[in-house]
Amino acid sequence: MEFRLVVIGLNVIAIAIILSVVGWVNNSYSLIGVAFSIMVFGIVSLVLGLGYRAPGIEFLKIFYDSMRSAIMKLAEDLHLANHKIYALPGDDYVYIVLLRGTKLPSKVEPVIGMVGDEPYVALQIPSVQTLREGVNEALNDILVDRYAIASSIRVSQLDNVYRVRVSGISSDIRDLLVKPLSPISILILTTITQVIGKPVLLLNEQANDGELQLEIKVIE
Amino acid sequence: MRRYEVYLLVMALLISLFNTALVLLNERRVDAYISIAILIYFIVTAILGTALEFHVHTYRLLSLALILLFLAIVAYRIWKVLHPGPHPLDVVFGG
Repeated sequence: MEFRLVVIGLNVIAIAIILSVVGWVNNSYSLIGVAFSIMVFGIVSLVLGLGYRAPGIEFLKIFYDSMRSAIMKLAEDLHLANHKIYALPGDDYVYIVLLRGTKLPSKVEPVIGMVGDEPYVALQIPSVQTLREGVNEALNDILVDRYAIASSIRVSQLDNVYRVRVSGISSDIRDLLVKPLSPISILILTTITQVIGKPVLLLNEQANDGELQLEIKVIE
Repeated sequence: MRRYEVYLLVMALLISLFNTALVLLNERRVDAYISIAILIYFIVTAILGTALEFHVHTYRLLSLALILLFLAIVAYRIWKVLHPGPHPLDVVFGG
C-alpha cells in the first residue's frame, strides 16, 4: 500500500462528492459532470494506492543477505576476521577486496586469492558508468539521480581522506544498511575508486536513521 | 519522479483539460464527462503502463469496473436514441 496515494484518492473523492452535491442543489449538470470525472481520478488513485507494492526490492534483499552471508563465511574460514575493505580499480571491473594486511595484490583474482602469505576475498563488480567528473558529482549522479538511493550526498576531502555523508536514504532499502559490506557502501567505494583511478580503503562506516557516513582513504 | 507519479500527473492534467473544454462547450450530459475520464484512464494506462508496480488483481478489478461503467453509459445512450422518452437514469446523467 502507498499511503500517499490512498490519502490523495480519499481527498479527491470527498471533494468530488461535495461538488456533485453543490451541482445537484444548483441544478448544474456541468458541475455534476466535473465532479464525477474527478471522482474517477480519485477512485483510480485510491485503488492504485491500495494495490501498490515496491518493485522487486524484497526479493533482492533476500538474495543480497544470502550472498553476504556466504562471503562473510568465506572470509571467516580464511581467518579474515579483522579484515579491511579495499576497492581496487581494474579495466572493466572494480574489485572489492577483503584483506587483513596492507599489501595490495598487483593482479586481483576474483573470489579467493593470495598476496604473499595473506589470503584475500575479492568481489568483481562491473564498472559503473558516469560522465561526471569529480567524486562529489559522480556520487550524486549515480546515487541520487540514477538509482534514487538517497536524497543528498555531501563529500568533503581532507588530505587523502574522503568523508562521504549520505542523507535521506530511501526507506525501501534501509534494511540493507548493514555492516560490513552494505551495498550502498560498496557502490560508493566502487564509484570513488573508479573516478580517481586509485585504490581506496574504507576506514569507517556509520549508519543510523537513514544516514550513512563513510571515511575513505586513498591509497597512493 | 516515480513512474506512477508521472502516470497520475498525466491523467490529472488530461482530465482537467477535457473537463475545461466540456464546461466551455456548456456540455450538460454527465455521462460525457465520465466517459472521457474513463477513456483517458485507459489511454494513459496503455501508453505509460504501471502494471509492474501494482498487484495485477487490483488493476484488473479497477479496469473491469470502469469498462462496465463505460458500457452502461453507452447502453444508456443507445437506449435514448431508440427510445427518446424519459428514462430513470436521466436524473443522474442529465437526460
